[in-house]
Amino acid sequence: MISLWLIIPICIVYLALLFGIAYYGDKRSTKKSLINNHFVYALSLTTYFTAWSFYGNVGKVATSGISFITTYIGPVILAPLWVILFKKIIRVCKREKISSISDFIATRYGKDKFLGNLITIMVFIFIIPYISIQLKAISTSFHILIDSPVQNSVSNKIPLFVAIIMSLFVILFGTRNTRSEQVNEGMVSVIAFEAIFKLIAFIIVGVYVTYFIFNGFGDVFSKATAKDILGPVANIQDSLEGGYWDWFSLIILSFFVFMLLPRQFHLIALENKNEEHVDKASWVFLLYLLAMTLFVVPIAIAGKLYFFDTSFSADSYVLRFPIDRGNNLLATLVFLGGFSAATGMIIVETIAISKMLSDNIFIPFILNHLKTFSTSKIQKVISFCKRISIPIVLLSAYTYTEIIGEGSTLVETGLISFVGIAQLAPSFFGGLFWKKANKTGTISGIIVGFFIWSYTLLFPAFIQSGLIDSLSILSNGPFSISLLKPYALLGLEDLNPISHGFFWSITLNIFFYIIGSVFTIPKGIEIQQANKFIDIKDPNEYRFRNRYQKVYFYQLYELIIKFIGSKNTNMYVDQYDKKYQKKYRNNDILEIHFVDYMENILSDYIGNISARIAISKLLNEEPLSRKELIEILEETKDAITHSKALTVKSDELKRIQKTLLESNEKLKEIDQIKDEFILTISHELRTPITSIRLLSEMLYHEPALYEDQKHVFLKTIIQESERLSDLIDDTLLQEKLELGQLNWEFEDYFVHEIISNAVNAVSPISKDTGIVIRNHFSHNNTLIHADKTHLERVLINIFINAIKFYDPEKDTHKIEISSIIDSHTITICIEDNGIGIAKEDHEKIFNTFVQIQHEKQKNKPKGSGLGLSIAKKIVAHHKGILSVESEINVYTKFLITLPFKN
Amino acid sequence: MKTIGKTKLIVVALFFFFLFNFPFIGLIDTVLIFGHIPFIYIYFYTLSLLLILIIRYIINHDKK
Repeated sequence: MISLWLIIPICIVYLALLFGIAYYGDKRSTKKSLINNHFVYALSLTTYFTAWSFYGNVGKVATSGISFITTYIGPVILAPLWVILFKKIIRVCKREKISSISDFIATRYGKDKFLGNLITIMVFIFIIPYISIQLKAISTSFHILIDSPVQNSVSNKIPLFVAIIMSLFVILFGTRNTRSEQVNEGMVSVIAFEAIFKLIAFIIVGVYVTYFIFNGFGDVFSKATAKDILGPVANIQDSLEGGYWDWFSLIILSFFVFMLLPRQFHLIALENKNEEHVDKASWVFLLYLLAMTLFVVPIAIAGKLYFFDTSFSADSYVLRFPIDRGNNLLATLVFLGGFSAATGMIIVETIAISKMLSDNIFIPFILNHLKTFSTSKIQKVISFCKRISIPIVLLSAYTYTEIIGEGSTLVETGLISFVGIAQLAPSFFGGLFWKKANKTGTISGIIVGFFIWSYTLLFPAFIQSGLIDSLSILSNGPFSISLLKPYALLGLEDLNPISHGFFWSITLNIFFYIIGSVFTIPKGIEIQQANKFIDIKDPNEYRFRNRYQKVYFYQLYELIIKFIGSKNTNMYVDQYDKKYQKKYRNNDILEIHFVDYMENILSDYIGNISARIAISKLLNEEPLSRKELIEILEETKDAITHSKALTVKSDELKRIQKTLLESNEKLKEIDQIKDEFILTISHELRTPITSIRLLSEMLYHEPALYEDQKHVFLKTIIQESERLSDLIDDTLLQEKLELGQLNWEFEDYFVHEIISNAVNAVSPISKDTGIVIRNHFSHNNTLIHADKTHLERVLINIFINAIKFYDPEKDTHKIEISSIIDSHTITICIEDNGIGIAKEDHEKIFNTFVQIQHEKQKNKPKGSGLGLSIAKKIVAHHKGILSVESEINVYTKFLITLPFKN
Repeated sequence: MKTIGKTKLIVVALFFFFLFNFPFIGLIDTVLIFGHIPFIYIYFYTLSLLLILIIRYIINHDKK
């Protein structure tokens, strides 16, 4: 037992620490943010572990076995989808300036005020009991700690004190940012701190119970086996009334609520600093989940063994162990751990619910009841609405604790709230992925789901707690109609009440949601919002607004100033000007784009619904008739069809443009080749002509020349003339090949004959230069269909190149001819041991007017630079391939592969 | 098939396989391993972590 007057200062110090962390966190937000990392993001999401988890899990295992795990398997299954689902939600929330889950659903289905109000009221009803059980957990643990079952005037008011202090905390740190887009850094820092604190406290008490009170896991479980109390822990069927169906439905339930609980949604989407944190946070959160649940089963089993002869509630085992052993320090740590779990949840849940109340109910109510926005105090009124909704939430929870809360356990109340929250699942998930989903479907689904939830879970809970005195309804059904029994609706028995209520409420909810959406026509703004939420990459495709009056700039400007002040308004107007290059003057009539822009800005401060009401009032928007709506839809349909046609046309134009650009590039390339050709051919022609002219002039003007000299000169003139003639022949041949005007005379020839002819033609030249030609060609009977003259030209060209590029540093110079044959082709290989060709030049040598100069050659080699280019084309015309293999200073091998005739 | 479509398809298929094969666990129910941890719990954790890795790999692969 710990003295009341010791524990109160400890609590005050702990709360002061939380205030300090929040203050420090807020202060750091402008410099180096404390929360800008994935660990803090993951830790913030552990508000899923409330006091219910901290104390109630052990209680659940002790009383009914392993089924508590379903509450955590849902989030475990969800974790892999974070990266897809959470990121999409975060993006939508940031762009649409969403402020709460009710705002999210209402904005998705046409920024509908009624839907916003409906969800807010429902969520308020679902969550107040849930907050109340946190207050109750604090109160109960406090009483256990001070061992005071007697009503003490101070300790009895603990929930009230906590509610007041939490209100103060949330007002100070949860509403500091007027804009929904900004993250409450101080508050998130506190949540992360509390997440670590409660984990450490739970693990320490787990180790204490398992290893200090008992002798390890083995000891706990062997003793439990001996006493035969492990049944429901070791078997799912034994732990759940409805066996696997209960198991399945509870997993689905926790899967839904992990995202849909207002505080979870708030932390997932609105307090996220950077969407990239989602990636790593998914597995960090899973590890936390594992660590937090590691000692649940051992503590529960140990509690059943240790406290078997007492009447203590199993929910209190976690705290009872250290108290019973007189370990006051650990007892205080555990109490503060549970306190952290409860306050963490209370803080965020209160922020989320109070935002819903102020943005969906209080502010729209004030806006609707002000005929004009004449009051200069509107900013203060809005601020007051936001703040007053916080104590309203917490005092409602306190009142619930005082009046109703005593009769139910932590887990029961929590699960009833869970099923209520799950009613948002169809509209939430459907809204993200199903474009046809509309407001009518959503409202009908949610109302039906809420009604079934009330009938199958809330109503029986009231009966059981004694608030309603009609126990016979539970056993016989109303008016003795057994099919209407709240726990066995339409004869569905054998399920536990939670699974039963969940099954009927969610099934009928989904059914009406689908039917309502399929068979009703959505409003224009619903279609617009559906596109914004689903095709988040293209949000501005369609814009809908009801018929409205003209609005002047000064009118909108004056309206916005009232809500966000002149400084902010001017800043946003300037931003618009910079972004869209459009500046308005006072008497300018506004384009709707600017109005939408300002509505979006206003949403950030007062929520989507309130912003829409304020702007609609200014525009004096009239509701659309059904006929007008159909006309708009028809116009939209036409516009979409037209747009699609334009897109097709545009794609076609793009394709043509691409082809033209390619052709242009090709023409430029050809033009460049032509220029190079003219340059090269002029140069190649000039060289022999110049030498012929010079030598002829000398012969003409110098008759006294010796005969020997005359002979040399005339020989050179003849050689140069031949070269000139060859060049012209090659150029003409090249040109004819290019234009396809070359005459071809194809006949069947033996390959060896063509090779022999070519060898004979070059033998005199090879002998002069000392180069030996060795013909190893062995496939003598191979016939090919070829133009003999042209093919011989190819071979001669290759032989002459081999002779021309012999290696003077080698002792022997040779050309070897061989052949390779396969089923369809014959390859003639001509290999020399000349100077070789560098690898990077292997492709180049087949280009026109290309002559590679080796380092061993002093002068540029003679020739037109056309030979191999022509040769390649001739071989190609024979459906063959001319290729080269070579190694510099070692060898060169030309390969002519041709199809042969069988 | 576009990559994003493929990702979605894989995720949905694995998710439902993952979720709906739970009755098979019934064959062994919840055998305690390491002395105290229910097998079924570890089973879901392992699959979930594995799935996180697969999805992140697919998404990173798509980005490249």
